[in-house]
Amino acid sequence: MSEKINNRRDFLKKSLAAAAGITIIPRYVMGGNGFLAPSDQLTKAIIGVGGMGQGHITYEGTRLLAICDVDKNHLNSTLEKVGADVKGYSDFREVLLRPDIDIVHIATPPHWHGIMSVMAAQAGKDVWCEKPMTRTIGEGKRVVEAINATGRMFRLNTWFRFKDNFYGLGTTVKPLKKAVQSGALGWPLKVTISGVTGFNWKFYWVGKTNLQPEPVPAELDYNMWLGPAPEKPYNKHRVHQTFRGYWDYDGGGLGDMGQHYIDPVQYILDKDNTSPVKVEIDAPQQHYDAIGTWRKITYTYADGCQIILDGENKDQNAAYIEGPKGKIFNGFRSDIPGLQELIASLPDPEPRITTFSESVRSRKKFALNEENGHRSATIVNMGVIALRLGRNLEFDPDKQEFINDDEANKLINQPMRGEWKI
Amino acid sequence: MKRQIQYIFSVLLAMILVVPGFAQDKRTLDTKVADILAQFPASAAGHTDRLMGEMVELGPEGLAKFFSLIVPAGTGDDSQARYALSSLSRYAGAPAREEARKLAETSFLTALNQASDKEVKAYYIRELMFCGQSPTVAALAKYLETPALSSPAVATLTTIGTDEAATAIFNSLKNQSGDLQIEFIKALGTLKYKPAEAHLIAAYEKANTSEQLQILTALAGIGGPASAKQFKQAAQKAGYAADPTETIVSYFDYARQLAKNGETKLSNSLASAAMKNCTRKEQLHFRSAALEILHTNQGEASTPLLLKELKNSDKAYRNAVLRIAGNNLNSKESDQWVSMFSKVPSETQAELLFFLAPRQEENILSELILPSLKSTNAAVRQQAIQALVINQKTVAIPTLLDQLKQVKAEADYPVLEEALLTACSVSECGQLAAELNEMNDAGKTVLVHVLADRQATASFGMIENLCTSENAELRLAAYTALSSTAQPENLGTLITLLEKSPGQAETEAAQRAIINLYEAKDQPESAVILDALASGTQRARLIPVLPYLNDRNALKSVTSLMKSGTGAEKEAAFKALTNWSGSAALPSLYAIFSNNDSFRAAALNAYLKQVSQAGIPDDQKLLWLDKIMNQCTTAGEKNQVISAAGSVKTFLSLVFVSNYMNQEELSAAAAQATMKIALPASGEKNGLTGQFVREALQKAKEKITGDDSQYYKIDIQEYLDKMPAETGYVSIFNGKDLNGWQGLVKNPIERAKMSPKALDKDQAAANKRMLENWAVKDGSIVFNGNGDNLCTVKSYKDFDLIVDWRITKNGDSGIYLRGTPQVQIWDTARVDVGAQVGSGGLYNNTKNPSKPLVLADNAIGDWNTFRIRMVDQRVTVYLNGQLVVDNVILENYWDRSIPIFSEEAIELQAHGTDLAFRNIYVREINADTSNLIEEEKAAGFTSLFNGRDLDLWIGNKTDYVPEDGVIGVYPTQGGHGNLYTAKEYSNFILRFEFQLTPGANNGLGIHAPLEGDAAYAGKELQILDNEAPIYAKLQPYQYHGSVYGIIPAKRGFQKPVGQWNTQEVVVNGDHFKVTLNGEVILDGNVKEATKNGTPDHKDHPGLERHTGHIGFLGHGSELKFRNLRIKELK
Repeated sequence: MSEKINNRRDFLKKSLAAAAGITIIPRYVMGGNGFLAPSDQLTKAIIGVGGMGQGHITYEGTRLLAICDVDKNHLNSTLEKVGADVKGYSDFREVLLRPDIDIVHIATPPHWHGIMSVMAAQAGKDVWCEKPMTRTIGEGKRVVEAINATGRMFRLNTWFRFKDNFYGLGTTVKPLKKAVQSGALGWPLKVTISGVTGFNWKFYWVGKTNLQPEPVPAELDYNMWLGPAPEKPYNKHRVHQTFRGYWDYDGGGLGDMGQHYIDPVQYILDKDNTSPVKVEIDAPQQHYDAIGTWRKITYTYADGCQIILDGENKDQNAAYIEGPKGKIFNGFRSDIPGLQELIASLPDPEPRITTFSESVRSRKKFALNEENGHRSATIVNMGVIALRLGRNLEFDPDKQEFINDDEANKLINQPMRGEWKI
Repeated sequence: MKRQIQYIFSVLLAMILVVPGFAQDKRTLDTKVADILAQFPASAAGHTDRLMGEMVELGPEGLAKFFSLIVPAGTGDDSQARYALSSLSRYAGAPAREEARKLAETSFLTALNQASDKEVKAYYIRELMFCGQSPTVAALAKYLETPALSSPAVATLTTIGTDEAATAIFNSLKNQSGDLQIEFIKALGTLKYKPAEAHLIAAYEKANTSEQLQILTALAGIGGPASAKQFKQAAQKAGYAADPTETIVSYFDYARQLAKNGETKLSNSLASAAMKNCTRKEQLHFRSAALEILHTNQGEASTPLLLKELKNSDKAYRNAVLRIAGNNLNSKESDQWVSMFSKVPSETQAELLFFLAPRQEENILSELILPSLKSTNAAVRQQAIQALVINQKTVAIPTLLDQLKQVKAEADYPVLEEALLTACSVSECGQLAAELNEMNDAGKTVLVHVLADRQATASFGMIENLCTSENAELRLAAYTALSSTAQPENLGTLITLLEKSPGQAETEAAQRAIINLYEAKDQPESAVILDALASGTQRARLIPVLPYLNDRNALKSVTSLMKSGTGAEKEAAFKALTNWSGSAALPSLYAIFSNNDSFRAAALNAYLKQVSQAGIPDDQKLLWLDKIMNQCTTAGEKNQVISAAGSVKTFLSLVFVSNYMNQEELSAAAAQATMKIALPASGEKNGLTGQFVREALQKAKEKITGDDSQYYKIDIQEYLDKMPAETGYVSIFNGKDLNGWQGLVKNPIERAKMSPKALDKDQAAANKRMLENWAVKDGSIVFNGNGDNLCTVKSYKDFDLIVDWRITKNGDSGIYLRGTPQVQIWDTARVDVGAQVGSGGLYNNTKNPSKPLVLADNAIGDWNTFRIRMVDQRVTVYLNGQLVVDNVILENYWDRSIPIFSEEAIELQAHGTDLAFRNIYVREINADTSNLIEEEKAAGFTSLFNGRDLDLWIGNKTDYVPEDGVIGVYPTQGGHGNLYTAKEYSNFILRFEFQLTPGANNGLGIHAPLEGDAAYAGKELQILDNEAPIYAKLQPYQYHGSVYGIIPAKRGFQKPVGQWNTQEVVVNGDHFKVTLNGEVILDGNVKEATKNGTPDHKDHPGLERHTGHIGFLGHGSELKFRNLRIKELK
């Protein structure tokens, strides 16, 4: 990043902070105009402090008041690290009842994301949720409805669409967005996500078939860990660091990293309000419980744009974005002469809110919110369903259901065990 | 269990004994099941579908055999059977497969009935979700009351979702209690089962909290008008606030469902009641839910209510109101919001501006946005600026510029800047520049920022002028803008500005601008800077630019300033050295590091960074690292170098780092680096293999520590488990003595003529002499300048050789391959003998190239690395990672009339001067004969493919890929041409296996030259899917196995596409014999077959060739080969 941009960003940041002082809403302003008393700081709780949740402790701009985990070891070791005013919980519903918490961070495995997001919204909380947004398309729709009906703010925890280097491409999304908007590449576009274009698909989230039942460790409330998921005999490989290998909880490498890399593409292609109409898979047969690998997944939109997930880096000459008039490769190389200069010469995209505390204070939607987040999670889940069924599928982006395939539609909403509902 | 074990045994037996038939399928059912089972998990969807088709064909009896293989979790591995059955349920449930679906359903139900283990039963019940219908509903009813099975049964019934399924759940509800009852109630709600409504209402009063929660949820899902009373009462009781029964959540779900069921009035009345009762701050998110329902139900008619709601004092609520209003907003409604604008407080005005900005109704611009630009309220004004640009894009620019001229508050500047950036492309920058002088300094600063961001080179002159501004902020902005607006012709101006720069920030900005010019494609002359450096007074300011000139003299200047400059100049010079790109500055940094002064630590950091980033080959990187390692004194420094070597993925790098695993304070870093080098990078297949690698990794696994080390240990073990058992590189110098080496006796030809006794005697004498001339010192083999070559005791055929060498001034040496001179080593300063071409050439060649392709030698006194490959007669040499000899024939120096010997010693040449060698490793190519059976080994067959690499092959290695024991052919990978054996063959027996894809076409080239169409320039034996419809009109001499165009082969002995075929080809003079799957399909003489002209009437000059390469002649199809072995016939 050039110094120039940094300077400008700092300049803007300072000025916006000053401006925020004036527009701040009364609830948060106790110490007078422009002065933020410690008691006015936004407060947060984190549900799930095993893996991803650890990162949420240090996110800026908010004060941590509560953490929650169904594993006592995770809970206690985290409590030792955080301040004495942070309280520990093992049932997230108790956390939602606390009136002094503004934002709930959801860092559990994905089979909980939908339920917790909806319940948090209904409890009047703003929500900061880990990726992938939801484990099913139906849960995603419910989150959108609940956030909309209750007027809450939602942010999904991936950031490439608005900040930092866009994986191996060595650039932020902004110049890519400008390049696509300029029409220099032509239309429709094909985006390839593979090691060749900058991101190697991670296939270490592979489940094991034929797991041996094991005794549940004393520190873990396995029933609560499972929650809405079907009851299956405990084995340590099902939980904690390796849960991503099982369809009951996540979607393997696609679930883990898919939304990270697909979400910015939705933005770049201007597809935030729609979904692909087709998903095609090239994959070995999948186990009903344990997730395996895949070779290639191809998504096609109604206008012919495509996203290709090339798991094996088969296309060694792949461009990141390819259109009829030109290509942009890894490292922002391009066959379009003077593309960098062209991009610099063009207007910036419309500004978006990229700090969640600013979104919470101003009540303006965060750059990556429940709506576009749901759309990019839908792409992940379309892939997951096609893999689980072992066939290509067609999708209706308006109705948000598969066309002529009841089996596939059965996986849009999936039954939840016990008392859990969404 | 016993029965099952017997069954599995018989299946396994069947798999071993029965060869699948194809003409007529006479396999037993058990065999068919086993054959299908063995293919799970299937490789791809098409494969699964084919297997499913076969399974369905087996009928109930066959499917039962799959079910009988399912065992309770933890009692055996039934993964393949579960793969098969789960695929069946999904396959059968797909559209238009009713017959298969019925069969699958019946089979699952039968199995469910027979199974006793709960987990197995639960598994079947869940699978029925995909293929179950009415019979499943009937069957599952009885499991609704079975502990541990009722939950999966309810889930499957819910998914099936018919009325019948709901009735079954409802009928069973009365027998349920506790958690299960809750699950049942929930299912009824999900299925919206109306008949349950009355029962649930009645049950509500007696229910506990969690039951009440579920009852309300279910009633909400059903959405019947009869529940309204219940909901109203419950909400009243809960005070329209959050409570443990989540009453209010269900209340709204109910109201929504009512509307969907057509009960809009009732829905409205519930929502209105909530509006009335939800007024407190902590209820406002419920209030917005109520408002949303009213808006959805009433559409436009709800606008007055929404307008009123916007007056609420709570910001979060107001924004929820606007968000709801935004759903399907039309122009009429939009007008009402516009007229609302003047009646609300300024904070709300700002929110309205944000809300309406993207809409194109004219009054939004004229009545809201434009007037608001003049607002005295900062929030409104700033929001109006943003709204203007969102609304008007480029058209907004003149207005934004006006606004910039009359800014009221400091905080407007960044907002205007962002707006201008959103509106302006470079073509609008002229408008900005034209107004620049009309602005005050803060306004100018904003415009300079925008001009810089748009790289408005046309404005460079203006920006240059602003560099002398009195206003510090503006001046710095102008300086900063130089780098994005300057062009090569502005270099002089930039140097002047740099020399005059008033402060550190400006200085750096001007330096950045100059550097930018030198980093661009059309670099200015470096002399401009060097002249300024020589004549100017501000040398320290120009020094930071020098690394970017890409100029030897710049490096010289910096190095001398490092010695003789002022303190500031020294500092600047050192910093410049650390910024140098490529490897040019490494010697200077090495010298600074070795001098041990205050720059030492920074010099090492810069050295390591430059080594890692320089665009130099890995071999050379390692040599640089090895060099500085010798100067490292502390463990910290050594660990830095070891870590850096971890990024160099070569065998020698592994040797380098793994040695340090024995030193306690270095072992952790060394183990980490060992792992990084040896294991494949993520997504790559570039892992190292061989015995040395195996041992190094085993040690690394013991020594690795730190965060995540438990995962590393798993990674290492998994890699070791998969690593093939090949020997790989073997050290042929132990670092201590000359064990394995011997003296030279004459030359190979003369040696061959000697009697064993005479040879022994001479050898003993030579060995004695050897010890006088060659010695081991500091881990290297050194030569004192007298005597003969040093030879390996062992002879080598085809091999990879790695050797490091070092010579002194005027040095001259070489590496003898198969006892023959030589891969040349010499001091490139010896121009008199032509040494300026560099080392590595095949010096004694007369017909083939003898000079290296490039000069790649390191400085005299530094180490060099050779990587030499010799296959058949051909030699490839890399010197310090650069290709210097590319697959060139090594001529036989001892007798130029014969080819090079097929096997001989490797020798280090003695040639009169100080020499040193180290790191000598040999990997024998295809010494591995593991894919040959004993009989073939004894008969003299050798392997043409070791299952891992194509070392014995030349040509198209892009489309022909070694993978897991198979050569895959993928013509779409962008390769070009055919794959040929490196060696040429005359008469031989070739055996191999091949697997076709539908319609596949390839060919086996015989006696082929490397150029031309092998079918005519040599001979081609067809490899073809004869049976494919597209080949229905083939001539007999085009059938599989035919000598193309010459002798036809018999058709009909290929296995079905997808199976492996075995083939033997015998070529003896003009006689060809082809045996396919045990059947002789061709046996004939090409000369005889063409005595009356060629059958295809084409010219076949290749008929006259009797030696050449064997090749695979691709014709654009995917197919596979394996198990290639050959025996040459005399």
